[in-house]
Amino acid sequence: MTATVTAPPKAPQQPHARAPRRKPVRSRLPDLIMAGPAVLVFVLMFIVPMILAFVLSLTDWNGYSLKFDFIGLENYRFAFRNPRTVDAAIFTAVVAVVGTTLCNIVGLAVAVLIAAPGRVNTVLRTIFFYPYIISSLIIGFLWSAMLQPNGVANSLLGHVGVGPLPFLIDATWAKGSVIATILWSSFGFNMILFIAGIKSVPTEYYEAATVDGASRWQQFRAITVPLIAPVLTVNLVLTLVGLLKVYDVVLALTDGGPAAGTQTIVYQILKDSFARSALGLGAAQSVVLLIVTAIIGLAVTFARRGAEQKVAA
Amino acid sequence: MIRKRAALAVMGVAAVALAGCSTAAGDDNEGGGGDVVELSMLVNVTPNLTEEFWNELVAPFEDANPGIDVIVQNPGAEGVAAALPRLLAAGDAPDVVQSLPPTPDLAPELVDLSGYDWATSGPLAEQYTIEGKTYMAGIGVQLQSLMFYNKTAFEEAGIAEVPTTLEELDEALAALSAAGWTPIQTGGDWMSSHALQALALPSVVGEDPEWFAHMSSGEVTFSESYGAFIERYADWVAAGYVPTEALGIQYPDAEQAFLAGESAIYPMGSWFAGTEAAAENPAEIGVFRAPAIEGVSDPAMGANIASPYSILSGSEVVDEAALLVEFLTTDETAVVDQLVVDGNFRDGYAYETTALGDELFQIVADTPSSSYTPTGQGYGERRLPAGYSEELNTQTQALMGGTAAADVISAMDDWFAANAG
Repeated sequence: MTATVTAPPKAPQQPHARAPRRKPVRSRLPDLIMAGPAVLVFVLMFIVPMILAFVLSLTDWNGYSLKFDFIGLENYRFAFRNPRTVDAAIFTAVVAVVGTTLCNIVGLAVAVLIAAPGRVNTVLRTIFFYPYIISSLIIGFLWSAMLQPNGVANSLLGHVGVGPLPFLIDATWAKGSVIATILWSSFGFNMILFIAGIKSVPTEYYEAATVDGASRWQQFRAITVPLIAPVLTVNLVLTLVGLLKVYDVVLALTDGGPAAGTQTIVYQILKDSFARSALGLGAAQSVVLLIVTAIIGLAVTFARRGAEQKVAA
Repeated sequence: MIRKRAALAVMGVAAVALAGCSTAAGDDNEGGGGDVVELSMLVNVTPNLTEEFWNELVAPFEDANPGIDVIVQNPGAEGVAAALPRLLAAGDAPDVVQSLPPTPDLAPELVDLSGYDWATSGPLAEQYTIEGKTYMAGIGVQLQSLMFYNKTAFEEAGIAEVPTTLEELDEALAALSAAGWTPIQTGGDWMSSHALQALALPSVVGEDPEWFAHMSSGEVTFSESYGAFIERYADWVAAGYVPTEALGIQYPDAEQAFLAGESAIYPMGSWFAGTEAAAENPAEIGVFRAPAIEGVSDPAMGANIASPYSILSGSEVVDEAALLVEFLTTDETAVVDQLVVDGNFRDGYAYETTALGDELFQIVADTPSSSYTPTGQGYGERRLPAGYSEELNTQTQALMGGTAAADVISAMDDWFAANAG
């Protein structure tokens, strides 16, 4: 027997709204004055630095001297040809895609399991969210100690006849260790957002679905997922953008090794900027990262918006 | 000029902000104002070199010069190397900077100290010159090409004398391995290439004292000069003398493992003597110079300057800054205090130390200054292209992870081709 699930009622269709008439400048003046400080801060703190970073990326500035030359796109050319930068960009993409997928799958699964009110669930939410508020450096050092050849992880595995496993020794394993550590420390944030989304779903839908004989899985697919779609979009974008900038966990956990296998793009940027005294090169890589992050963020947002509209229709 | 500095400050901040990096604020430098001259000094703060240590170090100088107030600046987690460019760009540079060896990039921002005898006659002063000019004065030397060894392990392996050539070292490693010891203690992070450099540099630079210049100009290739030592190191890895697991061990743990007597030879810098002196019940440890291959008459000794001080050219109180640096690098108490706290050495500045420290003093006394060579990327005019240290470390880790020696050598040749000249 197939259960049918009642679709959530659609919002009433709004009559086609007429485009608001443009207000005269004088009546918009108070709006402009009120928004002015925020716009000024935004321009000074975000737009101007972005422009200056781009200008800096066209120079050979070493960070010390006031003298520098404009060298055109040479920094960009070097960055794209440098195998270290390319490898770092690939690993960053892997971390971002795999990390985002896992953080959201695990975060959503745990959220569904512990969203209901209750003391035990409250404690569990606190436990799962706790790693998120610990400094990433501390988390990196902590897991580094545990994943060492003689660390706790291998010691425990030894008791059940497994290992020792090369968590930080082999490049492939080290990549997995970085992603696993990020998952452990970050999924709590996704979980909290999903719980907030789940709690905002009217319980009547679930009651109606239960009366219709829908299973928990069917309710999850037909009610929960569509109605928390905006939360999913926010979670995807925030996690993706955050992981594209991942640095501190890598620094503390593997220091980019072994054999540069876990260097991320931000790790590479900071190394080039300061260890090589090549601020211009670092700025060029930062500009590329900014553009890529913006494109990916916008692409995910538009893709999800399309999916949300499809669900709403 | 001010406008340009301000623009650079914003650009610098923008660059790191885009990378998601945070910066810490530095103290204000109000040097030159009022009756008391304020001298700002940006220093490296570590578990050994605490802020309290620095304030106590300069206190006698302030007592002797009541018109000078030394403001110790702590760069925090950012570190001196990252903080200085930011402070320079912001027009807020300190008067004196510690722990940052001069480079051709940095030199234009530093005061030429060639006119001061205390600077030109200091440790490694000549090796650190740039275009013949002295830009720093240090307190002593950190020896790099050293091999600390566990005396019990050597005894059990039947090794009566410490190796004096690489060939003898090969035999010693085989004997240690046969006796059940882990022959070489190394680790991940920056440590990976330290053992390789201890193996190679005494011979490479011993045979070609101008090796750094020849490599930078492309007259010599990495494979020609260093290749045989990469192959030797690969043999050590294959034989288990350098355990692959070391890649997952961090510096403090590697150090503790050796102190606890879990391994036989620990290639490390002279600062390890300071750690050994502070350790509780360490294994019985000795030290010998990293040997060169047979036939090299004057093996090179990797050495870095300990605690170099420089004066920023933007300082408005250069004379007072010079007085401070002279005090810090020549006053016997000040020098010895700094040597002791970080386990460094200087001929003629003895201090009470452990038996291991005494062995190191003997090595310092026995090593002619002409044998000193830079390690890693180099310093002064003996420099390799920027990024060499990181690349060598990366390739060493690849070697330890099982990459063939030929591939590593080829990768290093490619790297030099892309970055040198």
